[in-house]
Amino acid sequence: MNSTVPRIVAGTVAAGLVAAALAGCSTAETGDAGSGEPIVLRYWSWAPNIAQIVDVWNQANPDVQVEVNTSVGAADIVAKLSAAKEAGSLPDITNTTYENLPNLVVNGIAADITDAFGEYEDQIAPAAWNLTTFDDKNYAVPQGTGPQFLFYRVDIFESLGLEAPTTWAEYADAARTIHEADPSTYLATFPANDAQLFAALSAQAGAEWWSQEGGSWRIGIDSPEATKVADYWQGLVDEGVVTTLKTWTPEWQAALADGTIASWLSAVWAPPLILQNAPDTAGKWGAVRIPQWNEGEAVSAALGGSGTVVTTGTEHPEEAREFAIWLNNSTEALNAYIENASIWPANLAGRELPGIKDAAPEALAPGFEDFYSLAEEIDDETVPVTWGPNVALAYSAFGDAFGTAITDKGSFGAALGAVQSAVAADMTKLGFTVE
Amino acid sequence: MQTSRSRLRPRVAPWLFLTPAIVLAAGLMFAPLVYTVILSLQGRKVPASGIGVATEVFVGLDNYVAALTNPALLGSFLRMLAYALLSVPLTMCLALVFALLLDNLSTRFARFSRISIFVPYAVPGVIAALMWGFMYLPGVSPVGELFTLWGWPVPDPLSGGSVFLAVANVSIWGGIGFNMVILYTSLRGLPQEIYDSARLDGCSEIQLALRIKLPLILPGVILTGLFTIIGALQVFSEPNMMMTLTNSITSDWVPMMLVYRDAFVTNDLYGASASAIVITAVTMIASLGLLRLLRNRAFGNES
Amino acid sequence: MSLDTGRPVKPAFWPTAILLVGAAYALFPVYWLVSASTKGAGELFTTSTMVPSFTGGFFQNLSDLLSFNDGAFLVWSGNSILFSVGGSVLATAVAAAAGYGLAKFEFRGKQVVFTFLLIGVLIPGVVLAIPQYLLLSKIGIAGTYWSVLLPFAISPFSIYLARIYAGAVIPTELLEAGRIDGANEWRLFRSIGLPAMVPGLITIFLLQFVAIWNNFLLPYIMLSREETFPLTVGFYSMMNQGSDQLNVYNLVIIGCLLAIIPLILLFLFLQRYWRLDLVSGSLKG
Repeated sequence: MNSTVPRIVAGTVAAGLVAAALAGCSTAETGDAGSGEPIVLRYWSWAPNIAQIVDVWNQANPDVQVEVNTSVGAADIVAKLSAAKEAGSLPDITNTTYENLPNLVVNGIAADITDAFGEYEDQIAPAAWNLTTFDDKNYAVPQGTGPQFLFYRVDIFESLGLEAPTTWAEYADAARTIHEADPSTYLATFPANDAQLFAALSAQAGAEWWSQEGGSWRIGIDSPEATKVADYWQGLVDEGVVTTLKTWTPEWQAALADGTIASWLSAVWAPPLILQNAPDTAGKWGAVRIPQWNEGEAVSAALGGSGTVVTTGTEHPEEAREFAIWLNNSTEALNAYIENASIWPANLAGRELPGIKDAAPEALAPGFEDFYSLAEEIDDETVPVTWGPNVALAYSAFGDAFGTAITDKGSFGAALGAVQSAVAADMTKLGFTVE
Repeated sequence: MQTSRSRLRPRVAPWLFLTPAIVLAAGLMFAPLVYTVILSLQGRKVPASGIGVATEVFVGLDNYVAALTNPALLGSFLRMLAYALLSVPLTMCLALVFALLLDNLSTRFARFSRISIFVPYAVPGVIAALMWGFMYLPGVSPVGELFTLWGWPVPDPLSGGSVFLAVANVSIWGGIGFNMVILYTSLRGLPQEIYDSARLDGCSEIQLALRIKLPLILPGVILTGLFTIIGALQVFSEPNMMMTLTNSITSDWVPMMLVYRDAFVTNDLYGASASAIVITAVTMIASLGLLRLLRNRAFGNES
Repeated sequence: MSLDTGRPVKPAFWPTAILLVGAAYALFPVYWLVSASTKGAGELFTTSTMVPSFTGGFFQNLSDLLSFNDGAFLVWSGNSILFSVGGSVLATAVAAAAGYGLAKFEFRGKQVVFTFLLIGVLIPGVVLAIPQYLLLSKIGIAGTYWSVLLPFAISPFSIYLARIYAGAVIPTELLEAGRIDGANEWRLFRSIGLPAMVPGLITIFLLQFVAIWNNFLLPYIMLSREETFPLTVGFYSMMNQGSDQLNVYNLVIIGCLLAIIPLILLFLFLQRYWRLDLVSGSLKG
């Protein structure tokens, strides 16, 4: 034991120094176009099975290879991109939700791609085009849109003699009926952590959370329309006919699986998730438009949706733009999506592809085969939305304010006011003019 | 010449042994701290209204003013104190009680109990928070199932005032084992002859434990207590994980969560840096104060 | 250590009972983890997690976990091992040298250096994380394995333990004798200091191993490529797929179970190396 341990220690330290020197050399990322080595583009995306779709490109383009990194989730991506920008190590291409795009533009991460993408306007769904264009400049290639749906358990409704609600008043009645029949069940949950859902519902009611007038911003988070929505849900929560579970938690997933919650206000991308979480409920779900405020109306808001951004840190802007456009608009890519993931593309021609139009999701009950035609209709009824530069802050403030309101049995309207103040203060601090 | 060389060596040598540590500490602890201070004096502003690219500007002490006048920061400090007042005494008391019980000769299954209680040390905080999260949530809790079977109402530990105990429980569960084993090893190191004479004098086992053993291992108790307190002041992963599961924990529930949220989620790196410096200063002063107070009892004859 | 009085020791009820309750409290969540890992995707929320299922759910979960993201779990495990072993070796080496230097020499500025090295323990990890990332990016190693190993190599607690241990077990007279004989300091360290410190260094290694294995925040900040994640960050990414993906809780649960097994085995089989009297300071100096 005398000399072996010290030798091991000394040897390790020496090896460490050599390795450190080598590590410095191994961070070279992209090859040189002229040197005969392929260009390697780094792409961040959280989309499921994206690697298979990227493979299609890689096989067809041996001189421009795309390396996809799926480990950065949608929630963290803005922070990770900001940190990467500070460190000078941005990926070449990245996914982003539409809500976070303005933030990426303001922080100099999303590059202007109008030169390559501007001519695609008539191939893209208008809602998606609007969400990725600012001052007539394109900053992202839209991937899909998220027309809203109300998914509900047909079997539970039928057993109680209920029909799918078409107005919010009917929705409230359905909530009461379901809860009365079995106090351990609910029509829905009001999730304090799903600000995205509430924003969409506010937009449906006519609220504009962010809007621009000339050079200044108006923040309408606690506008009368949004407050109307808040009061409506407060009523249901106070009556006890909806529960307050946070979404994307074990409790909530369990509740969806065993019928404790009988519906889900979501969007076109939900059916595969329902299937994955609760395979036993396959074939029991109906999908209709979300309830309306006024009888006979057909207004909706988009829930989610993402686009592909070429970053300002790329050293191969042309190839990056080519890939970004290919990924969301080419037939090969869209077909690969259909095979490996689910997609409701922003590309209008893409919506006509077999595999989308005639395929009804497994989770849905018989009678709802026109799911995708309905999606197209709902898309056209979507109100345009403007996102501000600090959506992440708004969502975080929403979660805190409404979580506290639920815990302390406070007012949802007041909670909205708290979110409004936080967002306005933050934008003022950044230097924006806020009315 | 021989003597002058060997007189030089002992003075230069210690510095050479210390160089790797000093370089790493300077580069990885102090340089980042200095950088945080620099960041805290900057901010981000957009040049014109509408959508324009923001640039970094010097803002002086604005971020500090904002941090110090932020009511949420005070709230998070108070909650952290509530959490610490539960987790530290409970962890230390249980660790002490278990260690003393293990040292009792008439205890059976001591080895099994000792290893079992040590097992939670193997579980990372993130995983422990998830496991306990499942235990707490009424909709999926196995404990809830048992209660329903027995006809009792299912508790919701994460709601209301019990949320502090619920979060503290996760770190208590994880921390007892390690502290217990340290104290137990201390006890094992004590000479047994003291006990024999005390027993001959008619001392009961409990009196033995409290009057003789405890004072003798006090330095160990204070040392482990100190580290537990420092850990409690910096608590982050358990409440951060639980926040996603329940409405009663906000994103600024404890100071470290506030810093994390500002830096990572809402993208205000500069404001987060200022809050971080304020929080670090407070926890450092508190820790050093405690250290000074207890130094003699804990370290005895250390220089 | 036996009693000289020769009295038989009767088993006592209360100490045994209290400890067993403590053991049950400690093991209950682990038992739950084992039981829940036997639940397949459809069963997790529809059957009782306290009663294990024997319908093949465990093996299905295992195979799904291992094939998740093309074998990401095995890659993460490999990374955890790399970080824990590599980081601990580095930390122990640095601590051994620093502890020896502090314990066995008198020099001006010694107290300052000691305080300098230890004060790091008071700086919260969350506060250091981003600036560390930014600084390491500037020298180009952020995202590499070194960006995680180097911060793990500086452990104030390890240095503190090494100092105490070196002070307790290395006889100064032997060093003095060596110096008079003309040996240089490095040789003295290698042949007298280090060998004496080995038992304590093993403890330091094990403590640091556990700390690194369980660490989440540092690798989470530094690393962005999935192939470099350790288990803790891997699980976190499994649970935060984003709003268009549901969580695969059954895989996370079995993954957690597999992740904690190595450490538990480490405890069980390496018990005699856990010289934790070192930590309690009961060593006489």
